[in-house]
Amino acid sequence: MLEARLEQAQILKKVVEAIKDLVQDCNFDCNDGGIQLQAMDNSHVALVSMSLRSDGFSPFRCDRNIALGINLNSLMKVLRAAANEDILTLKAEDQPDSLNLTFESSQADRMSEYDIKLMDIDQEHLGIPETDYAANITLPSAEFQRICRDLSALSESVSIEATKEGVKFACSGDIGNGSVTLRPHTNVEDESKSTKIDLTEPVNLTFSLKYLVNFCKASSLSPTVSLCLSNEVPLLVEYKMEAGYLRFYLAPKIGEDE
Amino acid sequence: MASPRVFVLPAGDNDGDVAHTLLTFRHPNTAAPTRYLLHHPPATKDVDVDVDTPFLYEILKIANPVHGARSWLITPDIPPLDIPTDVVRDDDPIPEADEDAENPDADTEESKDDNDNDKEDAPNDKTSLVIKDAHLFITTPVDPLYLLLAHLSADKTSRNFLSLDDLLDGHPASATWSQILTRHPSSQKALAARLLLICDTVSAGDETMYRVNHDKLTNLLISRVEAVAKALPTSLTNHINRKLSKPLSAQAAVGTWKRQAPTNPTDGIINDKELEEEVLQETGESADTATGDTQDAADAQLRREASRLNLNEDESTSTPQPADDASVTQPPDAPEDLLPPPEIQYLASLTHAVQFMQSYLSPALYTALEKELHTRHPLDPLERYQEELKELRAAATAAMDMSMAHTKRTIEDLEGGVTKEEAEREKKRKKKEDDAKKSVGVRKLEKVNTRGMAKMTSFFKKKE
Repeated sequence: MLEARLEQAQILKKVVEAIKDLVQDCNFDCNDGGIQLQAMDNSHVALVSMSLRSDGFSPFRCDRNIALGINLNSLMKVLRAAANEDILTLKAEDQPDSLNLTFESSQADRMSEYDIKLMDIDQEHLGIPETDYAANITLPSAEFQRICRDLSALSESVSIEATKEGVKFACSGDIGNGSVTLRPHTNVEDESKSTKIDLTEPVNLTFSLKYLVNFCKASSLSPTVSLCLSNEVPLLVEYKMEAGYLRFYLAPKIGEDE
Repeated sequence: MASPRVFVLPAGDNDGDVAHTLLTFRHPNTAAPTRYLLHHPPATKDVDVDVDTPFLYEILKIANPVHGARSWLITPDIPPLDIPTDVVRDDDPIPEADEDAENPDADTEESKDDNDNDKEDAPNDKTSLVIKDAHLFITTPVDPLYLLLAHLSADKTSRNFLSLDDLLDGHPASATWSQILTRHPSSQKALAARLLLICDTVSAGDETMYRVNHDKLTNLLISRVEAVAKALPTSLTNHINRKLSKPLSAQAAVGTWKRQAPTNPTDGIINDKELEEEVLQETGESADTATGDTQDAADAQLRREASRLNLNEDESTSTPQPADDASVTQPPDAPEDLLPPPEIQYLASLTHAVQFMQSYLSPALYTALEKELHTRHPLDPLERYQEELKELRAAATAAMDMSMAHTKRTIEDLEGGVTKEEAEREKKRKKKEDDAKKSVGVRKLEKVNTRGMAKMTSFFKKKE
């Protein structure tokens, strides 16, 4: 059986909020290490991988591996009933038909309880190898969100060009073209507002902006975001959490450089 | 104890002294043990029963329709309130049998069959009864030949002449047969009479010996199929005809714009000739023709179709052709015009009728019968007709799409098919339902142009 108590309901809320527009149904794989999730979007060009380690919960108990097949839209409906500061507890049996969620308000004496019906989802897991990317860019997540939003007004796709001088997001569309260039800099007061570029070789790849905008919904999870690029492999967009991560992978657009 | 069940039993003689015994035989088609009802005079009486009186009955379980009665309410004949008899919600109330719920589980339980006289006795019994099992068990006479056939036509038995006793002795269910003969002695005569129909006989002393004659057997079976085909229930013939009738739209289309469509000139000539002939016929015949239908090109088209099928264009066909009526509009409820020719109807009925025989014959016998039936009544005209019909329907659908959009609904409702429109709507509905589960974002993302983007599976390999 699974019993996992999360001090802050907002963590799960934000995770689900971030991926529910990418994936419709998916399995939450629970084991003694925590809760993991891996799913692709309907077009299979993007992949989301989430991990909440068991130490992020207090307590966390999972006797045997359980896959909770959930419609994320339904889960979101229930999670909206939770306040950000509520204590959230997930409960499921070993062969569960439903997932039980309770929200406890720490201030008021209020406890709400919901059950979500589960479904059988036949999902295959992809093995994602550890990759040494040619470019590792860390920037404030709000900055990345803004760039994606601004450029998506002009075009469907953006080219991300990482050089020693900086990283350039450029696009061109029917009404014209535009670009945003970030140079690496360090903010002494607030580390999270720095932009860092680790480069082994220059990269220039093109990606669908609609997908990137979608990934940016996870911005509230973390003040910074890492973009990892290499030629011929998917872009990795990673949001680190206190006890886990939310990673998005997106296939580059090839042969469409106009 | 088993719960009571409702049976409709064969009526007894006037004195009502009749007993029933349940017997078990292997089902002639499925070989599964099946219960049959032996209807026989009680042992105390020695009645000489007519050879033609059926004595063996099969038990048919009538399943209650999903929305029909779920249980039986059995009430005395004179209920305290004036409740109509159809409280059981059966289309065909069965007055006597209602009171006669038997326990069929006791294999040889004998029970009195009540007859019409029982109505007078019933008021004494004021208790009502609700029976949970809403099935109705109907017993119908069955020809004992069917139970014997498999045995008769087996290699071993069919080679030699055998006496009736030996025949029954050799039968796998010989014990049951001897039970029949002891309980109902005169059934032996009846059996012998039935056997005569399908067997060659030799007399050996005062005993008659039987050997199955396959020609006789086939003749008998085919004559049965033909009889069934002629006596199919109206609901079934209607169903067959509906399936085979020409599309209503074909008629309408022919009646309206299709006439202007380029047609084969030869067709027109035949058409005219036929019309004239039919007019002559019409004047020659008296006005006793019952279905005074409007004559128009559609009818002529039908006849033309029939004659093209090399069918004998019998002048006694039911639709007369009054040529004076020039009205083109057809009453939508005149499907007689669209019925297939009687020859075709008969062939279709035969193919349906032979299917009924399937449950009484072993598979081998059934295939043989089917084959023989088709050599005697070749199916070619029916097949050709169906081909023709297919084309006609396709043409009608095409015509309708262009010109009859506003009448589509009624026509297709009458023809009882699933329309393209409906299928499309169904598809849309399903898609909508599917979409309802997706979030707006997922739906939006599906529309994103993913040209030039490789699938994730081409980068990451599946985990074992």
